[in-house]
Amino acid sequence: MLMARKVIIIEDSQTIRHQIGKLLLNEGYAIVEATDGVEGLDKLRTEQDAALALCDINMPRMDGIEMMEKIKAEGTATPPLLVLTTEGQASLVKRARAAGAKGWITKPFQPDMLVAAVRKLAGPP
Amino acid sequence: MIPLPPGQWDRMAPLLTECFLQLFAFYGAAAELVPGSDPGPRSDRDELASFVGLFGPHARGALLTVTSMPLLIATHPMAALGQPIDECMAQDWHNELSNQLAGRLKTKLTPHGIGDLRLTPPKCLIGAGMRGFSRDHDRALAFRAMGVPVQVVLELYVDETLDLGRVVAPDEAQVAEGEFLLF
Repeated sequence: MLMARKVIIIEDSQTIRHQIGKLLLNEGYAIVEATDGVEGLDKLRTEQDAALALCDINMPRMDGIEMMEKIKAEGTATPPLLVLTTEGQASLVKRARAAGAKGWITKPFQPDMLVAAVRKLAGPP
Repeated sequence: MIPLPPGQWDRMAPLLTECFLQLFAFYGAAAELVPGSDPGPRSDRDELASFVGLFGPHARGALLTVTSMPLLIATHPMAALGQPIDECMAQDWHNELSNQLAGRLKTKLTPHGIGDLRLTPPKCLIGAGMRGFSRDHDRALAFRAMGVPVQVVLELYVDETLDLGRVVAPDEAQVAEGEFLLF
């Protein structure tokens, strides 16, 4: 039996986590949640079969870019990282890209656009 | 740094207004700017204030947004999916809206040389009869969104040389709201 592809949602807003979670579950993906960069780092280390990680930038304890820079410095293999944030400055995009991000979505987002980006990076569910 | 001078507030206020109106329009809430700094009588309970800190080399301060439950329930993404919205969910959503408002403002300020701000994770207070005040100047805007009063206060300290009439980073490409890039 085939397992659904897994997406890690690293986002401090419960609203956004639940919204994306419901959207991706409806599409057939499995989801794992993390509420800040510290938890996100842990999930990236342990959920090695994940197909994608969606990651906010502005979060408590550790922000998303710092989290990506840390996991890259460790040399831990990660799924594609897709940034989902309110911010859109070129300097931040450049930093995220250098840290290994494969995409960037600026909030607020259209659900179908988010699903399209997830399918592109994670593959079909 | 100095408190945002009145002349610069006159340039900042339209940017903040545009950010607010666009954001609430996205979430299906028709909104309008109303005169003054206080949007008028609100309910005597269930008011929520969300606070986002802004800090950077050229500016620092805070953005405070005060509104009440009906607007947060009406715009909550999970409400559209049929889920009842409780107080905790409304607080979380208010924080997310404030964060998105601050992020939009930051993006609009980038061409003027003060976009290198970091945003703190938002914090929400809930209570009755809340009003926002800035410490040194009255830097507040009043809106009505879906008929619900909303107050937005921007307390900002900036470099003395700040001129929001001047574009200093015109060519810096940005990812606009609602867009996505794949690398």
